[in-house]
Amino acid sequence: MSAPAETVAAEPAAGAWSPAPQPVEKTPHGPRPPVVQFEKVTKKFRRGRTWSTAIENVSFVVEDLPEVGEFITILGPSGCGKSTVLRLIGGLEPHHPPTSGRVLVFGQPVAGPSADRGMVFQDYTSYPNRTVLENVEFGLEVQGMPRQERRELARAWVAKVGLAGHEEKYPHELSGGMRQRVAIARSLVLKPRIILMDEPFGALDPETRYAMQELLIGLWREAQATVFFVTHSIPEAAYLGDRLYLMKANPGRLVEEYKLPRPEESPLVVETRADFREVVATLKAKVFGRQGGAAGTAD
Amino acid sequence: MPALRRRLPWLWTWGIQLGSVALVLLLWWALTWGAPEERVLSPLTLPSPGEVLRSFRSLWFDAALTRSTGWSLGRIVLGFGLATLVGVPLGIFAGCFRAVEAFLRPSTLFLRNVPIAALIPLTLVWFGLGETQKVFFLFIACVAFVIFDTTRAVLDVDERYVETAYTLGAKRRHVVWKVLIPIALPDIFNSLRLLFGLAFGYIVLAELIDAKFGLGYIIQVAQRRGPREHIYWVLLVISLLAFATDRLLLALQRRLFPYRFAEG
Repeated sequence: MSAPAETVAAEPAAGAWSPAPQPVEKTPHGPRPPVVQFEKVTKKFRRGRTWSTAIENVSFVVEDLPEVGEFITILGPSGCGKSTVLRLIGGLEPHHPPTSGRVLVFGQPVAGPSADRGMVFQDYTSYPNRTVLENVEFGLEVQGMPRQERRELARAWVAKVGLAGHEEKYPHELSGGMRQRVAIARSLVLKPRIILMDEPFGALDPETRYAMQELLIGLWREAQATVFFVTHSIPEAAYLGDRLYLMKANPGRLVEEYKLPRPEESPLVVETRADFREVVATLKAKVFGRQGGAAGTAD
Repeated sequence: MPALRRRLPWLWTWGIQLGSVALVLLLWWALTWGAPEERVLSPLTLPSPGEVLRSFRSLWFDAALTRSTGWSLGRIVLGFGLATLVGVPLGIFAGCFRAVEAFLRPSTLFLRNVPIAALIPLTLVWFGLGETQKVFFLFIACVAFVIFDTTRAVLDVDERYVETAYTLGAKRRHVVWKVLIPIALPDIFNSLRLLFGLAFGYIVLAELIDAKFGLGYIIQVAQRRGPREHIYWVLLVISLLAFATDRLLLALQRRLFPYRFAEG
């Protein structure tokens, strides 16, 4: 089980899943500044008299590829700092700023939250006092876009996430899946370069979850944004990701990455494939810490 | 045995409520039945239902019930309106900035815990005997509660809404005007409705001293000069009025915030 030579990007055969991990890319070598770069990032929180470490010495690079955005899933057990990584990119307190190290977005240190890094949370965050349309308009409204213009744009995005006909409904009249569609439309209408998703489908039933995964992939292809998607569902991480970061807890750290193919089939079909199931089984063993996790971690 | 917490058919609910009222009336009637000297309770302690009913005429004409009610309502609306006008903005300010909250906390804590009746002598010293004293007494009695509840409502807005707003490009002023205030508003309105009931309860205290009109004034006069029957009428009028305003505000609240207060 030797790691492939570091010069080769080691793309697995198209359309096939390989359970072989790769070392995490830590230094940028593209011509453009990377989309996101973590340089030895550590975040500690004070807990009374002691300090607890959320993440320790996390380094990775997501290159800025022309014309496409990568879909990156972050997988790991609870307490491994998945959300911390996401919120550091988003510039959200109290995780931002890091205790040490640097978080760079397009070469610039993150100063705080902004509309070019949209965020979708697990909890339903649709504003209860606004209709679906008004929710999707929110970001455009604070930008100062004229009412008529933003209304049309929002209407188009409401349709894109499959909520046409529900424009005038209030969030309490919607199901969980529909509310997450609102949250996704509300974020994507602003054309963010980066989309941060913190277990957005975690509270949905399996059927809705599959539908949302397919919807998200379709929207992401169109949006050409880089997605960071935190989940604790192993099949979800393996299905959605072009690249999967595996994290471990105590202290939270990034251990390895996986390059994954982009399937054309729906998640339900993919989950029956043998090579996919092998990857899921491998990841499961690693997340739950069996097999000693010894397999070639180059950290 | 009925199942725990199970809803009753509405006919049962109404029947039991009516029965409860009827029982009180029956008890009242039984305790005050007969010639004055034969009653279980003397007419001085408790007049009979018939006597109370017959006193309505003098209440309406001699004690000017409608005008008194108008005066009382006016004082409540003024005093409470002032408390709302001052308390809601201060509460929002305190909910947005913890430093303001810390600054206001000692005063609101004091005013919420001091026995309100004990403030009457002070308000008399400060504002004299006129209308100002009555309005400001109600203001002082309510404003701390308004501030406190408004602050609470703003602080209770889930942080996720705020974070989401920031990641959608909102600046601080947007978060205040487009997120915190609109989302806290139903709760603020709801607590104002409940506090308005509180103000209603204080009106009699406010009118204890040197009122020219008012429901509290009728009670004063009835206690000193009679007829005592008026006291029972006023108690009924105050609670009915308070109940009616509460229902009215509740209906308004459901119209204003249908997404928050569902019918039912």
